[in-house]
Amino acid sequence: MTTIKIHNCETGEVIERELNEEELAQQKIDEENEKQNKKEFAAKIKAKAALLEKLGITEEEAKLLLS
Amino acid sequence: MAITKATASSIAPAAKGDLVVGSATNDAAILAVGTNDYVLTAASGEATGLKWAAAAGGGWTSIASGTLSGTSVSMQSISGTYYELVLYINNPYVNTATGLLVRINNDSGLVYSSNWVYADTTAWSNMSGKTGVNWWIASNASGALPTSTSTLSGFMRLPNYAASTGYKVFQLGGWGNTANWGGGAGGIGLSHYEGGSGAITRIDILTENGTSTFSGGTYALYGLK
Repeated sequence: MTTIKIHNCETGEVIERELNEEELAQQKIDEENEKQNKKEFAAKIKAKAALLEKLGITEEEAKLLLS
Repeated sequence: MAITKATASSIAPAAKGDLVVGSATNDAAILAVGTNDYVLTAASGEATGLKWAAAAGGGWTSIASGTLSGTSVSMQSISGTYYELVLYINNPYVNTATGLLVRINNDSGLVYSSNWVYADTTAWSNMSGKTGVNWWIASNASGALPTSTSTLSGFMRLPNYAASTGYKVFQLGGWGNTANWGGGAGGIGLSHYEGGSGAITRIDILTENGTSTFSGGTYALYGLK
């Protein structure tokens, strides 16, 4: 069940309800965004590893060079 | 006229802490001592024109707190009467690993940028053009929340949140925990929101993929007066 907890800071009232249509649509967008972010992150890691291999140094050695 | 001990005793013979105060022209009354730590306050509606009351303002006020649950927690109708806000998240964990986002005024546009130095890195990690503030409370190198109870925690400081003009800048801290980092690694971050120029009245804490749900953890929002 996908729910949102709403805390009204003025009254202190707290309710938890299921997502409405607008929120469900945003949820799908968020899901897609996260997939894209994960892809970008994985590509970055891959590119970093490839560069280190090309340079023939380890990650620790690269850090030493940059420190 | 000099007031001697005898004179003072004759007009104020009551209890410890009592005050003799004017209640009208040429008339005096006793104001009994107030509650511990109360301060004397002018009050024209009182017979003596004074009263004891709790000191007003100063320090941090609890605005909202509770347990993280569902896909998001939305703190709404935040008063603009504080100088700044600080949000704490403690021990959050989710049913499926994903990151932690904070969204301002329900704005899901690509209007947030976050920069972090974390774990054993020395360079700033730049996450710009995101749909929320990325918050480093992570159990792996990609910044995902843990899937079981943990001792991870973080804070987010929101100064000048009630300003009606300009971008909003946030300061963040967090703690990550994996075996790769010797059991734990802290991070510091700066983030900014450029979606709107109005005061911040709503803060949402949500799972980054929108579908993972919080299995536990707590949130607490405080305001400084």
